[in-house]
Amino acid sequence: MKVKVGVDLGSAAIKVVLTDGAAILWRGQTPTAPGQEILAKKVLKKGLSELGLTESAVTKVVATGYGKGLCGLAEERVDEITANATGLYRLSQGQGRLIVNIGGQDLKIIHLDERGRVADFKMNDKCAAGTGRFFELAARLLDVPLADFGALSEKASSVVTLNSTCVVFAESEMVSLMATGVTAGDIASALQTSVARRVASLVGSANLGAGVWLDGGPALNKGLVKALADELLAEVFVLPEPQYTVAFGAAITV
Amino acid sequence: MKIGLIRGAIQWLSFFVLTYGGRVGIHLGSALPCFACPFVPGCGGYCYLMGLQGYIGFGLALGPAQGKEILVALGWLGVFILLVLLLGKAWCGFICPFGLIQDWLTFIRNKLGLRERYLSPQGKKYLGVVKYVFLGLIVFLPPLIVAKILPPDLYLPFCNICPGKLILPLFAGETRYLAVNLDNAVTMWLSLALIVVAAVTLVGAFFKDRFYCLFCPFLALIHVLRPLTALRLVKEPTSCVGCGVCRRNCQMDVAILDQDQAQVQTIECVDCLRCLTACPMSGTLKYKFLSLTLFAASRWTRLRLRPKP
Amino acid sequence: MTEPLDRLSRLLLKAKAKALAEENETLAWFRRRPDYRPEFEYFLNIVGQGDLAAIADRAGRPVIALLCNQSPLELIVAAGFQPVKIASGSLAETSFSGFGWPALTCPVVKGLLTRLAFKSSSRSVPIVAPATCDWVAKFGEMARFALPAPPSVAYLDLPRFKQDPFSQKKWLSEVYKLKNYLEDLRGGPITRANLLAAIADLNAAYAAFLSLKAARLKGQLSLSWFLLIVGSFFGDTPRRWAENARRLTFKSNGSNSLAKVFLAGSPIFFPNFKLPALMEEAGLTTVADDLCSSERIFPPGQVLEDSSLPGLLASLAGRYHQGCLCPTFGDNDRRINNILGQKNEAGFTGVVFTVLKGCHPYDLESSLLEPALKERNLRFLRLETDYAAEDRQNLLTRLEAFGQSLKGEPGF
Repeated sequence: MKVKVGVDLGSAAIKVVLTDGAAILWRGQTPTAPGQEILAKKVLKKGLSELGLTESAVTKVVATGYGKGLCGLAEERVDEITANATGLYRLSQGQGRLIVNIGGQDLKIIHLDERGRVADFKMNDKCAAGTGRFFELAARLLDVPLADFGALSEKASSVVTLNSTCVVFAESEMVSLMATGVTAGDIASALQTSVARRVASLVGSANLGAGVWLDGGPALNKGLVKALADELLAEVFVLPEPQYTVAFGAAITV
Repeated sequence: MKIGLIRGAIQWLSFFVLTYGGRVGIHLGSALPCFACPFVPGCGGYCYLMGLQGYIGFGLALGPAQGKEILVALGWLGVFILLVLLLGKAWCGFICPFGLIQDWLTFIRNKLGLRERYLSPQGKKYLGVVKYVFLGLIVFLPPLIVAKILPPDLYLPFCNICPGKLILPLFAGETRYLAVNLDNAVTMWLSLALIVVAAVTLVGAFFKDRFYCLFCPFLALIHVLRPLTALRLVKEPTSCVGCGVCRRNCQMDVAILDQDQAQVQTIECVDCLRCLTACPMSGTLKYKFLSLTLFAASRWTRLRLRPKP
Repeated sequence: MTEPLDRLSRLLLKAKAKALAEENETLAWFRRRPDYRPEFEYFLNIVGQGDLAAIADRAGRPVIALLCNQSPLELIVAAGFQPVKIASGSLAETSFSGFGWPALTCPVVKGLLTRLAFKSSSRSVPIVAPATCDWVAKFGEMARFALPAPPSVAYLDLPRFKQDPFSQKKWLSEVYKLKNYLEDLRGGPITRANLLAAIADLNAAYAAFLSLKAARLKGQLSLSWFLLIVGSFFGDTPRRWAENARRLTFKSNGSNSLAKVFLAGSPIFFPNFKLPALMEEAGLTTVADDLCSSERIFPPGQVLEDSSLPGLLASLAGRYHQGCLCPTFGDNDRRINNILGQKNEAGFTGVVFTVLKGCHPYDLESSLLEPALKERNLRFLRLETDYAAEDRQNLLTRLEAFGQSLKGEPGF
């Protein structure tokens, strides 16, 4: 069997996907650290051995993400916006028209046309407001693992609002909220609403009749999905493993 | 640049044909939509305004007009309309000998480094009415003369005060219209008026490009047919940035040239095409014969003035 | 009490050294490029404008410094001066904090004030400035506030509405004011012959510019080199610059890029070539632009219908006011037509719009242009940035994705 490999070198994690061109055969990730190429190779090796393949089975390696230039094992590179569009369009069976991707340090809104091509996109400027970094910081501050964040917010009772999406200012706001006895669940909920509002401001008045596909690691947070649906007034869909869409898209990109 | 050369060449050619053509047997008929003055001995064609006042126009509206004469009149009217439909205002910018003479005056003024005097939009509006007064003379006086209500010396009332009648024959050596005609009071006043009009026209055209064209009845007549003419100036407003270079370069100072609209060929426009030559937005102004583009504005046009080595 | 001043001077010296290093780095980057040619050396040597005295020596005539593009260059050349449009593209000059300007100050003006503080040779150069944006209008006041020896700034009161006949009249009187000002400096009248000769010189420069534009349109001259060569225009007399630019020859390289774009927005000044470099890296071919630091230096449509002195002045006034597409005008609606008008000729399918942080007029104009251009099937990418390099990756990602979307093929 032959496989294509997509490597997504993001700011938070390195994601590797092995595919036959149609479906994801194997996927794995590791946190981003110096020596990205070695890290990526390690994940790839693991994947190949789990599938019972050797390196000769690899027909093509495509890199994407901020670190794509640092990854020597890839013969081809593609930008993460195109990769995301390609991957999501395929995995959503051609249903996706608007993607919201919340990455480690950026926020992307991607409009697709009916053939899955990027029609338009928006991306945050020099500011990490409303990105994955924001959740990381909150998790650290609330002393809750990032993975439990969504479940935590489900326990929210009262509605508090967080005015800032700025990572720095939100921190002091959270500290003062905690001081007044607001629960971690309430803060988590407020946080999600705040990110959702930031996303909504980037989406603007676009037609969302075909729904919104949330992508990237934070999409696993169910509370965020709900908050986003409330703010966008649209249906929000999430793939089973939203953090691998971009790597998959890279692998199947020509 | 190219357009200017082509236009200049046609203007000179037409000047020679219309002024001296008769001497080599050329005669282009009696319905030319330009000042091809019949008072020029040996000219190559007749201005339709004369015919209109005379035997092929309103001059035969009364009296012993036979059916055949009316047919001839209608025939020349048809020729006139056809010529206008074919070339539109190109009659003014490319063919009219009197237009060329005014362009010479502009040339001399520029060589002398004297500034052009502009008329205020208000002033232009009032002066523009004069051409309708002239049209009125052409239409209403001949029948009155034929009916003997007005004296016969008023025959061809417009020609009598047309500056072309004095100036154009000079190029064929005919100087008689420079003098006051003392035959009777009517001829004296008419010839005096002609001299004054010609003098004012020459001075006016020296200080203001194509000054006389403001008063020319042909502009009004041709403009009536403008929506139907084959040759015309068109504007594509979606590529016009409104820089105004067309308006500043316009011989007739057409104020709406740089406005955000497609129809910019006003009654004043004489098809000098200086707007098109100056326009830096490729394809924004086009000179078209039906759907065939003859000239189009281009941003790649070289500027005229070159540095001295 | 002299201690704080000393510290300011030391800070300025440090900034000056950094600014110089930046310039050298950009020049070295240009010389390292695979498309570098020895003929470009002339432009690399004259592009820096940190030392206006050097430009005056090179041109053999005194310099008049200009802000913005609306002062008729012909008039300044006719008066016997070398016009130099001054602007800062330097991160070191821009990020100098010694004067305490607001955080979102226009980098071009802010950096320029820093440079005027440390280049002693520039202080005596008179500055002519049309009041375009708020930053330029306040520049003189800011200079008098911050600089111990502020330059003289002669303002032209640029009317904000260019299609209004009364504004046009007002601007003509401002051009006469400039003429009087220059005649005072020169100590004699500007004659019709002076002006005709200057117009001829600028026409030669315009012709040279057109050949550069044509080469870029055909993909024979990259964006970075185009911006450098056109931007170096003020480094020498118009005639010499034109001669050198005319001498460049371009060959067809046979490539036909699929990702052709039009570059619009805030100006790009030497030595900051971050954005052009990234655009090239992302595989975009820029075939035309409307930056006031590039194509708009040369307003098109010089016409001499009336070649008397008043006629020439009126023609120049109109060309530099009514023909200007600066976003500070209140009736700039037809700016979009410059993009649409070039679309067929240049064959671009996308517009990259750059907004310099702190440049509010362009920021607003991007919002006005975006929906209008999209309606006409042009893709639009707005990039807000400054002179710092930290957002290179973010910008590159967007430019690459934009290029992909222009190629029009699905990614798989």
